[in-house]
Amino acid sequence: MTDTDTSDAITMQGVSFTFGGPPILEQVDLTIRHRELVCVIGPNGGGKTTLLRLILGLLAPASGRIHVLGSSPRKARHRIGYMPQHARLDPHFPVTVHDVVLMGRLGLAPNLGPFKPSDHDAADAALERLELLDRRNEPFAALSGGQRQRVLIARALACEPRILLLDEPTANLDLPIQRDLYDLLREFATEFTVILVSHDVGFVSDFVRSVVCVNRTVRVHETNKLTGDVMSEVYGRDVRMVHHDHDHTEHHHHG
Amino acid sequence: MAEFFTALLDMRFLQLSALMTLLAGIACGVVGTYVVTRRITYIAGAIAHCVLGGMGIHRYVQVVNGWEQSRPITGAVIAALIAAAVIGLVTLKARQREDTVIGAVWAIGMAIGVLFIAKTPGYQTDLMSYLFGNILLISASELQLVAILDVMVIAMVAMFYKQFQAVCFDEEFARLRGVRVELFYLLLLGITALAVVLLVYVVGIVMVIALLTLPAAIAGMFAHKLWHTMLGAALLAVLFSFGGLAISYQPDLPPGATTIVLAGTTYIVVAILTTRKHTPA
Repeated sequence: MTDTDTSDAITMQGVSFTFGGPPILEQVDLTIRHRELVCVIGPNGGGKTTLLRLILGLLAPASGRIHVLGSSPRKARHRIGYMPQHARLDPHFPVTVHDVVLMGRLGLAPNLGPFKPSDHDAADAALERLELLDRRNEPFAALSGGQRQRVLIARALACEPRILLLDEPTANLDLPIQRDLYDLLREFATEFTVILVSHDVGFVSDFVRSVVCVNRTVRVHETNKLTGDVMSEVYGRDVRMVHHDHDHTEHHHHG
Repeated sequence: MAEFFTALLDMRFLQLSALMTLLAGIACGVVGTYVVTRRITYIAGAIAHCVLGGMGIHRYVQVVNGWEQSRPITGAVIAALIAAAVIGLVTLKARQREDTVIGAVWAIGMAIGVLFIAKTPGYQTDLMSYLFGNILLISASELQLVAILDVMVIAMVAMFYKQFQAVCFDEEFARLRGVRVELFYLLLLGITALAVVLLVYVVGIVMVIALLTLPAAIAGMFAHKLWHTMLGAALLAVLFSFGGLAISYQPDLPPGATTIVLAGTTYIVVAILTTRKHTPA
């Protein structure tokens, strides 16, 4: 396998990262294949966000190599559809749902002047897939947390991504809606790679074949082998804080 | 009020002032919307106070060299753009010190102005008209420059509306979509500087941020799209500054202060009324 092997969506070899203090990530080796549905889990502060930002090229590794779609993260970033956590955004910003999704067309639309009709169509098509087309003219601010998150997924889809990267997409959703979302993500994964970050281990283990566990180091686990022992290894001393998740995992696999 | 409109028909200085409220109001609405949504009110304030430095240096150089034709607006534009560039570059390089940098630029710009005005030989320049504005003193040649600045601001926004919107709404996402966010942030501060200079003429250095933010804040309570907010804010800014001019004329009040009281009162009334509407009875 060469460095530019394009058969994998993302490869990381011996990647370490630090903000100057103790290492946030150490010697990470990771391969994510095309059209794979991957869930990234781990405790808060364990390096999930850092891993995400390395893939997006927003941070550079201290050592090691990262390839995204066969090139550097920065060069590949326009092929990644990214959904941030909506809580970061100003809830009073005067934009409609359609306006927000249109932002996904930046970089595809001409630099000068307004968006083209084809960009508006692509934005509406993305909203349609998230079943939000009837809300297109509503203010973004008027939506519930879960609906805003789906709008941001539509925005990521409007980028025409080869990799969809979702940061906590289920944080604000009720269980039945979470289920619908996972079904949709599995459908997406037949077209492109889908990577989601979640702290909700118990629930995702029903939907994905393997999880990427991040806690300074990175391990990939088959979900059917995700036992309490593995979980305490991943979460380390914080295991009491995630006792709820821990229980869920056991419940799903033994109950 | 009737007296004002009679006077408006045949007094040239009033016509120039009225035209000035129109030009400044448009830029104010457009740029003010960005200032409010991107939360850079205090950067706009710092830029405004640096205008005193520019005007002070200009006045000094003008008197010492006897450049009668030169206009203070030149000094104002240069100082505002330098202030915007300094604040922009420093906040991009060292984000955690943002408020300190803004405060320092704010005070230093003003201090430079005070020093140069104090040392300008001969008749002391009217510091009050810089600080609190005097729209009635605008000349035809200055109005031409104002019109050029106005066109520059609007052309910039028309060309890059979608990038500016994306940078204000979600900077990180804009960066990931290939938008050069640092460049557009600096451009945004640049057009803010130009709008600030226009508003210095209308309401003076001290009150610029009120006229920049209040119309956009009022329009923002009703608008659901960025350009709707801009349109509403521009309309309100023209209304407030023209209204201030009209109301202040007969009782001989300072037009800048009258404009601000008008804008501030409207904001408070609208804020109270809309809060009532949303609170269950």
